[in-house]
Amino acid sequence: MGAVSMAFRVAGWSLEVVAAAMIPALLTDMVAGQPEWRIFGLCIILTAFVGAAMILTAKGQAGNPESSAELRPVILSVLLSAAAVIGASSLPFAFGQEECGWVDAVFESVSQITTTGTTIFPRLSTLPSGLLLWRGTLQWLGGAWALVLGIAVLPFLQVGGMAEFRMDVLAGLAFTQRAKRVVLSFCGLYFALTLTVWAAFWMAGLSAFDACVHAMGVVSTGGATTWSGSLGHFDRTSVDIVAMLGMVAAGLPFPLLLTAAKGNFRPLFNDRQVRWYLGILALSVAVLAVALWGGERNGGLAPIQAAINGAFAAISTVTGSGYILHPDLFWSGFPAASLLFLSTVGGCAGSTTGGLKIFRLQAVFSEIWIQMTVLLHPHAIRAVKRDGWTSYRAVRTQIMGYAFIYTMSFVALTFGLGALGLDTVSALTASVSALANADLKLGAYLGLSGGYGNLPDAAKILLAVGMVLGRVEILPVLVVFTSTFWKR
Amino acid sequence: MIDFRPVLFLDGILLAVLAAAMAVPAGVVPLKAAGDGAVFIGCACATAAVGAAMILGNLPSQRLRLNTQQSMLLVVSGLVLTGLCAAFPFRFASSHLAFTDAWFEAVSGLTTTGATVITNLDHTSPAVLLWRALLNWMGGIGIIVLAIALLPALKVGGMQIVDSGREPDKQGVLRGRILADGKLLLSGYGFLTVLTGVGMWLAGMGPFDALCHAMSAISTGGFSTSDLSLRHWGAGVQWVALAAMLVGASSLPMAVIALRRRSAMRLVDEQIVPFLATIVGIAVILIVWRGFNGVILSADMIRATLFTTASMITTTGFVVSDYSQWGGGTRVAFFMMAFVGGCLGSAAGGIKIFRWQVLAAAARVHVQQMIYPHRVIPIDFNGRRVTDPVIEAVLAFFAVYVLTYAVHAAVLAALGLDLISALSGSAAALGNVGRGIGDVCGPSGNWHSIPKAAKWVLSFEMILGRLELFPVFILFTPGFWKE
Repeated sequence: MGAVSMAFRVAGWSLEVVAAAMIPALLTDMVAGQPEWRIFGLCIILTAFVGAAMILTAKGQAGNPESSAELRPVILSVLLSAAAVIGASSLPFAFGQEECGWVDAVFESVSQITTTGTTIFPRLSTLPSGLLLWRGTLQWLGGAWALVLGIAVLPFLQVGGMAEFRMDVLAGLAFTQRAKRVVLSFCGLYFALTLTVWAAFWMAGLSAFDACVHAMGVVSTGGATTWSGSLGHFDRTSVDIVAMLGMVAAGLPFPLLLTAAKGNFRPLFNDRQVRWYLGILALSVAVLAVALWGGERNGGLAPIQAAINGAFAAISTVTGSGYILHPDLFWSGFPAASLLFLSTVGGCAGSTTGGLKIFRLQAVFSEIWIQMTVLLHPHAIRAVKRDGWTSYRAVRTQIMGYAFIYTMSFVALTFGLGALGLDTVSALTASVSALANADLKLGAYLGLSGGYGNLPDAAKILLAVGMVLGRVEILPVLVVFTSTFWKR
Repeated sequence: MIDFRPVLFLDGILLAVLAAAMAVPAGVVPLKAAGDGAVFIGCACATAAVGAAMILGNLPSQRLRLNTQQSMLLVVSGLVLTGLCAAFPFRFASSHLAFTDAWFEAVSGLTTTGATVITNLDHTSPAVLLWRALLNWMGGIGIIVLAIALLPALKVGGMQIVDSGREPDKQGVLRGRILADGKLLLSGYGFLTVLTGVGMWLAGMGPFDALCHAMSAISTGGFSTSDLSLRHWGAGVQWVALAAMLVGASSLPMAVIALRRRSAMRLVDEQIVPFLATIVGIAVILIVWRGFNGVILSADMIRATLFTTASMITTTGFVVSDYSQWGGGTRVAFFMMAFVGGCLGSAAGGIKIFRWQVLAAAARVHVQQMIYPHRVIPIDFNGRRVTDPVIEAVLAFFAVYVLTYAVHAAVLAALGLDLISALSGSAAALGNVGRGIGDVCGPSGNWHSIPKAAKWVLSFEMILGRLELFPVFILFTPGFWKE
C-alpha cells in the first residue's frame, strides 16, 4: 500500500507543478487578447483539482512509504506521475481551437515533456502564442524532469551503469527527499542558464517572446520554436552561435556544471566524460562541415556556411535538440546517414539530453579495447589500465546489456512503424529520434510539411511510448513487466 | 617480429587447393567459348605456381605450430590471397570484368555473400557460372572449418562457447583439430551438396543448374545461374532450396562433429530450435501482415514469404519473388533480417543465433539485478554455465558489429549510394547476405552500377563479417605487430 500512496503523492505534486506552469501561457494569451486564455484557465483548475485530490487521497493512507523497499515505490511514482503529467499537459492541445484529436494532443505533449520536440502541427507560426509558450514550458519542465531522473532516480535504480553517477550527498536519502534536493540545488542553475540564453537571444535581436521560447527549447535540448523554419527563420549567425553554445552547455553534466558555476572549473574540464563529449562534438562538427563543403550534390557550400551549418546540425543532433538551419542540406546521402547515427549518441549523464549517453559509449569502447587486448594476450586482464569506473567489469557488462536492450527496442519500434505503413527511412528516423528524444525529419513521411502530423494514429501512439521509454531509459518500464517485480 | 614463414606456407597450401579447383570449370566449357578453358587452365597454373613457390620457400623445419598472431594473420591473409587469385578468371574469361568487379565477385563468392556484379547471368559462360558456385562452396566449407577449429581457440567474439567444458588444447592452436574433424566435415558437406543437387534435378532443374545451386544453397552463398535467381524455376526447386538453406545455416555441420564429441551435440540442441523458431515465427508474422493488407492467402504467397524470410536469415540471398512490392512492414523486416544470422558452426553469417541467446540472457540478468541488486544470476547455455569472458566477448562483438555497420553505411552514403542502399547494403555485406532492400541490393538489383570505391568498401565489409570482425581489426592495432 505504501508504494501506491507514495506514487499518488508524487503524481499529485507533479500535477500541481504543471498547473502552475500553465499560468505564464494563460497570461500570454490574455495579454495578446487571444480567447484561448479561457482554455488555459479551465485546464489549470482541472489539473490543480485532480492533483489536490491525489495528494489528499495519499494522505489518508496509513503507513510509512519510505521504509518499504526502494525499487517498487520509485518506479510506480515515476510511471504514475509521468502518466498524470502527460494527461494534464495534453489538455490545452486537446481543448484548443486547432484541429487536434486526443491522440494528437497526447503525442504533442509526450513529445514536449520528453524533450523530443517533434510536432504534429504543420505550421507552428499560426498557433496562438499561449500554445507556443506552452510547448516551450513543457520542454523546459521536461528538461528539469530529465535532471531529476538522471541525478536522483536512475543512478539509484542501477539502470544501465548509471549507478556510477550516484552522488554521495544523495545516498541514504529517501527518494522524495533526493528529488527535492536535486530540484533545489539544480533548479537555480537551470534557471540561470535559461535566463542567460534568453538574454543572449534577446541581444542577438530576437523578440522577448521568441527569445524566451527558444531559450527554453535550447536549454532543455527539446527544440521548441515559434516558427516552422525553426532557428533558420531568423537567418542570423549570432543567433545560431548562441543556440550552439546553449545546446553544448545543456549536454554537460549538471552536477559538474554546478561546481563550475561556483568557481571551480577543474572538475568539469578534468572529467573524462566531458572530454569525450567535447571530442565527439568536435569530430562530428568537422566531418559534417567537410561533407557539406565538399558535397557536390549540395552544390558545395562556401566554407563559412558549411562550417556553421555543419556545426549547428552536429551539435543539435548529438544533444537531441532537433534545430536544423537548412533541412534540405541534410535530406539525403552522407549528411542524412550521419545525422541518423549521431542522434543516438546523446549528451553526458546528468544532463537534459536523451540518447545512449556519452559514458555508455566510453564503456563500449573501453570494452572493445579490452577485448582486443585479451585476444592477443589471453592472460593480460590485469595489465588493463585502471582508469576510473570503466575498469569495472560488472559496470561494463551492465552498460553493454543496456545498449543491447536499447537496440532491440529500436528494432521493435521500427518494425512496428513499418508494419503501420511507413517507408523504411521514415520508420528508421522516427524510431531513432523517439528513443533518443531527438527530433529528426528524414524520409517521405516526416520530411513533408506537417511531418509527424501525417502519421497514422497507431504510429503516433507507438512513438509516444518510444519517447517515454527513451526518457526513463527503458528499464524502469521493462521491469514492471517481470513477474518478480510484483512478488512480495 | 612475427615469423611469417608458417603463415606463408599455409597460405601456399590454400592457393594450391584453389588452383586445383580452378581447373574444374575448364571441363565444362562448351565449344563455342573455348577460350574460357584456356583462361581457367592458365589461371590455375599461375595460382599453382605462386602457391608452390610459397610452400617450397617456407617449408617448415619442425612441427608446424602457430601462435595467436600467426593464426590471425593466416585467417585474414588466406582470405585476401585466395580472393585475389580467384578474381583472375573473372577478369580474363569471357565475363571480362574490370579488376574491381572481379575482386568484388570473388570476395563475394568466397565469403558466401552472393552479391553479384555480373548483369547477364543467363548468357554467361558455364565455366564462369561454375566457378562462382565453386567459390561459394569452398568458402562455405572453409568458414565451417574456421568456425569450429580455429576461431574458438582464438576466443573470437565469444566463439569459445563451442569449447565449453573441453580441456584447452595443449597441442598448439591449429594442428590436429582441423585434420581430425576436417575429413568428416568435408564428406558430410559433400554428401549434403549431392543430395541437394539430386533433389533439385528431380524437381525439374537441369543437371548443371542443379549442381551450381546446390553448391551455393548448402554454403548459404546465394549465387545463381540466372538473373532472376530462383524465380526462374518452379515451386519444387524452391522447396528443395529452402530445405538446403536451412540445413546449411543450421548447426548440422556441427552435428557431424557431434558424432565424435558429445559437447557439440548439446550445442546443436541449444541452437537449432530457436533458429527454426525465429524463421517460422517471423514468416508467420509477415504472412499474417500481408494477409491483413489484402494479399490472398495461397500456397504461392506462403511459400514466397517463408522462402524469402529463410533466405535472409540464413544469409543466403536467393530470390523467389519481388519482395520490394510487398509493402512497408515487410521491407523494414527484410532490411533488419540481415543482422540475425544462422547457427554457430555453419556457413551462415550475421550476428548468429547463439550470440542473440547470450545477449538476451544478459539483458534479462540486467533487469533482474534491478530488483535484486546483489544477487548473482548465472547464464546457462549448452547445459553449462556461460563464463564471464564469453558474455563480455559476445557483448563486445555486438557493439563492434553495430558500430562497423553504422560507419560503413555512412561511408557508403558519402560515396554516392542513396540512403536506403547504403543502410541496407552495409548490412547485407557485413552479414554476408548479399540481398536487402533498395535499388542496389533489392530483389531485382545488381551491384555493378555502384561506384568503384563503394565496391572496395563493401568487399572489405564482407571480409570483416566473414572473419567475425576481430581478426581483421586486430591487425590494425599497434600491439599486434609488437613482440
